[in-house]
Amino acid sequence: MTTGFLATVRLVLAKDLRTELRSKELLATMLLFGTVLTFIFAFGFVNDPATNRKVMPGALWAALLFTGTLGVGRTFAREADADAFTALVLSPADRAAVLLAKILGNLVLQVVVLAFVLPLMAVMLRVDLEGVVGLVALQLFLGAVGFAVVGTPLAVMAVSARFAEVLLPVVVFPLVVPVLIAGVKGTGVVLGTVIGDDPSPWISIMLAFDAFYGVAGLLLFDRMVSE
Amino acid sequence: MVGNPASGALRRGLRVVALLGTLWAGQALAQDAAPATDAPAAATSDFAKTQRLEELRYRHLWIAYGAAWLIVFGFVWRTWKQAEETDRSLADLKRRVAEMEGKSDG
Amino acid sequence: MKAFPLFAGLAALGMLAVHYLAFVYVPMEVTMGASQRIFYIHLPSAWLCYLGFVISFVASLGYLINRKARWDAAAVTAAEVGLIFGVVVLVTGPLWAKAAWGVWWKWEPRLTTMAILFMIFSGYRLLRAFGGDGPGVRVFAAVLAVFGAPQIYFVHIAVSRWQGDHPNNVVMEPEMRVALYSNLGLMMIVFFLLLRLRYRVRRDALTVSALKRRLARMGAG
Repeated sequence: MTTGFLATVRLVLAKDLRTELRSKELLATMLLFGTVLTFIFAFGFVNDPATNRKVMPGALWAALLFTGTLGVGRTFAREADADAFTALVLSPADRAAVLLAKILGNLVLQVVVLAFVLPLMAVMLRVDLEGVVGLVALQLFLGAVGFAVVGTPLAVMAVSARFAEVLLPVVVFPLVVPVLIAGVKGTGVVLGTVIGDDPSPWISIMLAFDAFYGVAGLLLFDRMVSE
Repeated sequence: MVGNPASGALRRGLRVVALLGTLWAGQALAQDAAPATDAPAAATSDFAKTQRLEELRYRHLWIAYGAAWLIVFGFVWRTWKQAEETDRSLADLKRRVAEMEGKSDG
Repeated sequence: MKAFPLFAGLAALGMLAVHYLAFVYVPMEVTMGASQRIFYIHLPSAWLCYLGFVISFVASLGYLINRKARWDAAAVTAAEVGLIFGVVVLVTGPLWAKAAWGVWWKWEPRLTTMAILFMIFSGYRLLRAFGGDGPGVRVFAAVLAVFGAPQIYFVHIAVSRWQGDHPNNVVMEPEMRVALYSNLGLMMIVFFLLLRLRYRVRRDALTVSALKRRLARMGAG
């Protein structure tokens, strides 16, 4: 008998997180990349406090996009290296459950990286986040969800393309630009650098985006990997 | 790419037209930037300003339609050339397959 | 298909006729002057660009469901033709903007979302050109088109939702309407001619490579 949907999600997610915790290769790379990006932004843009505050949202969301690309690009790399990809999609397990587990796995990594990058960037750019850190974190989280639900299924398919590691960011970035714009605007509103005092319209765009692409990906995934 | 000499000449001609069109558009657009660096005396009269804007409007109108034609019909033209090309290789291949099959049967 | 140049020639003549409407028949608009006439090629191109992407979306969805090469070929073709009209939109737009707004480009919601949409399908085209032609790439591309085309919705609502400067729901005089819809009609004919021809070229190219493989096998065997 096949295992249930949630049980499959839990199994695959636990397996991935366990492997990652043992090797830490991806997490370490993403964290270092996030740090390097923060340094580049700091060197490139550090100025007076008012300017820094304006730069912060863009730098933060660019960091999300770039570190996220590293993670998403490796989603099925382990299976592809071990030739286990076919086994995974041919197994009687619900394929949507496998995708959901992979999305959650990417999300966990991304959240860890952002939890590190956000304070680091605030320190480097000398931006005071007191009182707004919750709203900024919420928006970053929704952005990370949007990136994961769009990037993960495409990363699965990219395995079979020539030139994939180059093409993947080129096709994923434009798709997630709406989330990026909403995030930069919403974060700017929270930091007081964008006109307006209510970030909720931007947050609702991100929610709608996450829901639409999450559902579309899960519904279509079965058709994507079946021959 | 193979093609008969006539179509080659036509293609070269079209390329020249496209090149000249682009050059003209570029030169015409360069004039848009010019008024900013003009002597202030020239920009004083409202009439001159209005006239310049009027000229710019007509220039952009012509460039817009010209560019649209170049893009769309350039693409039509290229696709048509590709169609002829695939037609030729398709006919050639079919002939060769038929030959091979004839040989293996006989 | 031998008759294609005839069709194309007739379409070109028709285009000239409807351009005459846009250039001469429509009275001069008061505030924007001559540059307003760019509208009659800009807006139909935008609609045809959407149409191409929507067809690509439907065909991609069809390909994901039935895995027939025909559907995949239709999806690529429609995306290509949509992109061509997208180029027309993005070339004519700034020319109008420079005359009306004084700048070539603004980070205005409609322009931004349109640029994103164009980039998404440029990525799709790039993938088809350089990603190889295996079944995996076709599925990848199909997912991309299915994910990308819904963003037309953002372009559509951009002006009203985020208070853009781009003209929206223009109130039109009867003459303007005539010029607009006749231009749209003629350009749509060109659109479908192109779609038909490119689709056939793609199908033939597939047959050519299949025949080549077959010949190679026969030569080896």
